[in-house]
Amino acid sequence: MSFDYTLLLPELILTALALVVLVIDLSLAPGKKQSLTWITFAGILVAMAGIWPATQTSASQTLSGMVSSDGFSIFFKVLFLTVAALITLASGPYLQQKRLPVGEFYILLLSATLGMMFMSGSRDLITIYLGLELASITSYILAGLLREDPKSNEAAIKYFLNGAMASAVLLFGLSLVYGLTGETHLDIIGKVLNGDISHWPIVGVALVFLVAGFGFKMAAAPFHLWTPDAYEGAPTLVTAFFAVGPKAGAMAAVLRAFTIGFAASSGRWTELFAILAVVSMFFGNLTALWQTNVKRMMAYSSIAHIGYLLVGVTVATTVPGVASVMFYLLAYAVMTLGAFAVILAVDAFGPGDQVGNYAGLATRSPLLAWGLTLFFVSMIGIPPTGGFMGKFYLFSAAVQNGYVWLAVVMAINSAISVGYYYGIVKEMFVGKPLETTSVKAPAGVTAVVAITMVVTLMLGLYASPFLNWATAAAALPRFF
Amino acid sequence: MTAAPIAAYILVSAVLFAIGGIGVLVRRSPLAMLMSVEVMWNAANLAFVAFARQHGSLDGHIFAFLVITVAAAEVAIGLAIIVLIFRKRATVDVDDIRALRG
Amino acid sequence: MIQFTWLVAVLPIISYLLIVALERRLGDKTAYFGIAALLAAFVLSAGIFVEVLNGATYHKEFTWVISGTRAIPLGIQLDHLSATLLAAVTLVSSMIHIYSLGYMHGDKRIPRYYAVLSLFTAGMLGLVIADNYFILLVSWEIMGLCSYLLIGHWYEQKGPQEASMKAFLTTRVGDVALMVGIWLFFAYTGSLKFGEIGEMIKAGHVPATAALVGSLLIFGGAVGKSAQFPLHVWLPDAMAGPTPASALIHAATMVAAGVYLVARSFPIFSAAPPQALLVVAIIGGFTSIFAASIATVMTDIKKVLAYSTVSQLGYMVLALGAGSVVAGTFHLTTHAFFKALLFLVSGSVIHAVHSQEMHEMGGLRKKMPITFWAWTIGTLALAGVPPFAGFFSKDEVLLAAANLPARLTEQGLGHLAWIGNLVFFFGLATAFLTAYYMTRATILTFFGQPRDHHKYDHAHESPGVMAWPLIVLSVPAALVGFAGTTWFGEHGNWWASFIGEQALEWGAAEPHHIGWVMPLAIASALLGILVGYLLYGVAGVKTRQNAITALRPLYTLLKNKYYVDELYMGTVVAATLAFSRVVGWVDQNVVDRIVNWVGAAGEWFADVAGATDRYVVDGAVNGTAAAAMSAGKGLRRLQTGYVQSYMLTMAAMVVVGIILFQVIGG
Repeated sequence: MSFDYTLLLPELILTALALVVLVIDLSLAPGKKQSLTWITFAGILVAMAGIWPATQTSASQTLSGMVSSDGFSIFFKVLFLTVAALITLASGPYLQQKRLPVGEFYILLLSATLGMMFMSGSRDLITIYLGLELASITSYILAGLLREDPKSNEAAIKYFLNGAMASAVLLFGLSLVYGLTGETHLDIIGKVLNGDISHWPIVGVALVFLVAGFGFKMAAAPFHLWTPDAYEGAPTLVTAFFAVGPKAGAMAAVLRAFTIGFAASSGRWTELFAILAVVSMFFGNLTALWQTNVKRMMAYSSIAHIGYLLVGVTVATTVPGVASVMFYLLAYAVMTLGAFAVILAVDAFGPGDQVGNYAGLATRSPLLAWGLTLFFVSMIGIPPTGGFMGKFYLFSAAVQNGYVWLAVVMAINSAISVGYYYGIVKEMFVGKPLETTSVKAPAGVTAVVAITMVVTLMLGLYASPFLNWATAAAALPRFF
Repeated sequence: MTAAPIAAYILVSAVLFAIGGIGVLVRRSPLAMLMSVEVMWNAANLAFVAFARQHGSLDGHIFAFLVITVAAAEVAIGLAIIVLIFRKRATVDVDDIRALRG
Repeated sequence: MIQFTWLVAVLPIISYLLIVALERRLGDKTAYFGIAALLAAFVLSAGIFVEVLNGATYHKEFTWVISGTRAIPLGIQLDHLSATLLAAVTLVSSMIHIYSLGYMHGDKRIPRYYAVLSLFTAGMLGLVIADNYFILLVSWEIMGLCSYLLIGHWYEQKGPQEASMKAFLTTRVGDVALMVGIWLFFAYTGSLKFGEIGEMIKAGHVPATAALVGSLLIFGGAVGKSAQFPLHVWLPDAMAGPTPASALIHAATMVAAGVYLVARSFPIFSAAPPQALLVVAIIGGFTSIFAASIATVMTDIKKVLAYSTVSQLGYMVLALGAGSVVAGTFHLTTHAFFKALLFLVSGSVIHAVHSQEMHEMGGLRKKMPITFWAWTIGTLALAGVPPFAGFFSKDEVLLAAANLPARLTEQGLGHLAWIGNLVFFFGLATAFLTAYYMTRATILTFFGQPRDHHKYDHAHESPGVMAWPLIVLSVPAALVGFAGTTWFGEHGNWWASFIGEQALEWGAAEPHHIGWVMPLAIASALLGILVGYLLYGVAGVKTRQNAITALRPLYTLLKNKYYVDELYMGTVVAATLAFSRVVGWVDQNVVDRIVNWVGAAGEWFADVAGATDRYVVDGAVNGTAAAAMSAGKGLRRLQTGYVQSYMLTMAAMVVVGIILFQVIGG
């Protein structure tokens, strides 16, 4: 029995922060809640600093081994906190402009982040499930935060109903796993399943249920159908969060649960993920070609990116496989947040969220236009950007493990994706704007664009420290 | 009184899961769909508790309790969203909620 | 001076940045930054070239760490080949920068034009001095982007806009192939260097099939960039851009980058199975005759030159495919000079008469003497008349082709030797066609009576700023060929020993001398000129009309460029469109179809379920029957946008997954 709370310091700080925001929110008069943005932002930075003690101790598991704070989860904690910090940075004027409840937004954002942090650190089915539900339930509310907007309502109800069913499916899968092994701890599940292969038919059913449940959460085709509707209807800021956070959380949980708990049947689930990867890439990219709403297009684009990531999951039985997924997640998070910062500016402080609204953005707001171009370049996978390096690592990991065909499918898809990204770039640089005044992006949004631009380039030009970090985290001896 | 064999519990659990699944797919009202999802969750709960008894471990019971708690939270959110929609339009037939598509 | 090699590529980047930064303040005057930078770069590279002639070489590496265990050395290098091209590219580019001052006068986007032109030159120079695929690829993409921007310079017009799209998309097909090829070799060898990869293939680190596929993928990049069949369609359309840009990008440099890529990758090609180079030779040979035949019926002066460029690039590719790096790179160098010259002349003509149609020209010889003489020199060089530059290099190419059958036999492909003969015949026929269409163009443009008097009266010699570059470029166009003679070399052919030394290390097979090739080449060139003169200089319009009528099907076929564009529109493009439509449709319907199908299967079940639902579901759910009315409806037609269709798909997929696993078993 070990309850080493230093290992949970970031989670504890985040919980306290959510409560503090809740209390302060009550004491502030409506319309005077700007200070909450900075309290939240500072609090997230403190939580990030709280990771430090965990890196200094030799212990890595706490709560009787249910949660571990190893390199792998630290990598993801940094990722989630960075995402939350950037979202917060961009949020202030947007929340005001859309008349969104400020305090609630931050509390929900922090709770969702907390849930995702537990997903990445869990070594036990119970904590994985609780983390996932915490992240999901808060997400449903976030999707419907624009209470007066029917589209936002629709996004919420669709996300909610689909999510509830997905979580029931996942839960049933978990109960089967528990029934087979009598354990909820991943390490022991792995050992038990490794010993006896006769469990197969039931393990197969359980695997399908788990893949469906997690596949829904990360929006992998064919479990992606809710995604475009939820993305389009939700407030843009929330969409930005959806496109990054829950996906990364589910990915972390999948990497850990499948490689530890189901190592014995890895030959099977890698096949499933390979199929999901191919379907997601093609569905996402080809459907995105037909979209006129940028948020919806980004939803399909994110489905395609999950496909790329699943290529790495297919070879997640090796260190480079896991490391390439982690690196790509990092690059994906940065470029996606950057792109959404621009979309948010054009949507809330400019003409709107249709592709046509981007006409002439290059002359109206050069920084936004060039930023978006850079993020798209990175998403396509052209050097010298983080997206290129990420795809490159995924590609090499796949090739090294004999999945040449999958790597080729990935390259083809990367070429297809040029089509829809190019459409917007063309609008921005060639299209004739209806107005000539510049889009007045708030300072916070501009800062997010600038930061993500720098990091995207840095991940392309100076990738090695990040990759080393991911590789070290993926190569933890107790991970396999 | 001898306890029923584990297979019986699992069979009931599977049937409940299927009934819940069908319910969620055929009912038009989000309220009824929500209740059907509840049935699916409880099917899993039944399995957890049955397995816990079989293995003689407490984990399954704990899991079931936590699921019940989470389900309560989930239902609260679900009802709130449904009420929100109901205030806007007179019906809550999910088929009418399709402004977003394609 | 050689240690400043990097500066040559950096100078145009500096001018690019200056132009962009000072565009608002200085406006059109920013053009001088580009000119100054390029002249400086030329002086520098001329100095470097002289040092290289005296035996200096240069290689500088830095380490690029991409992961903890993998450090990749990248670098720039300067050997005989890159030093030559460095000098040639900077000379041509600086002349074109100056020339553009006159040609683009009055254009409303001059700073943009010069900025892109400078950036492009930087890309080309970077490519030339790269010693690895990474820098090469980055430069390659920069050029692709600049090419796109320059073709679409007048983007208000529909033509340039569409042409730029077409160029971008078509070359992208090749780029993807190239990228996959590079990744493939990197995955096997862990190296990105041209030479190293070749050595590792030889050492057996790469399976033969992979080496073959990889080298063909790399060649795919060249096919796109150098406009080889079947990806040649973008180059003629690219003529919609400003003519000086066409001269630089679509004649002298960028399109040659594909050829340069093959030359630099030669260690890989020679280590790969011999079929790889054979494919290169076939594509090159076929492209040369294919494009030359189309050039014979074009009436737009730039289109003639465009197809001529495709055809000449085919020559270079053919030479490389036949195993001769010497011939391929020699023709690359001479062609850069005389084709840039010809394009600039055509620009001068277009500038004077405001038309590109040769049928609206005629008799311009008297009005534009400098232009005319420059054109004549370029034409003689292209047609391969001794002693102009093209003669010597074309002779080398044909010699390489003539050696191909013997080479194939050596490599154990004796049964394919007939392909070697066929390819040589293609080359020879191309020499004839080239001389013919250039004579035709010359006579239509400069001789005879003016056909459009209004345009003729308006015509005038171009201003000095345009004329001087013509004169300067005429010199190398006339004389560079002598590098390929025995007059300068200590051991025979100077160029062959200058480049050949290195080429032998790369595994090139330099051709043996065959006595009958040169007379045959001269004969076909002279025959071409003679036929051209007879048809267009002596015979009247009526005779030509009769000839066209007699050869109607062939003429139509050529006039429509073998219908390749139509074929693409009809197949590839239509298929792509149809496919994505299908997918769009799938996305909106498939899901529902699956759902409906599942639903149909469940239709009877739904009726049964009506009762079940009423008593069991409701009973289980809440014990009331409040909503029982809807139960009998079963699964209604579900469409996207309906939340339940999403959920049903999810459920169906779970079922499919379980069945799949149970069927394939444990």
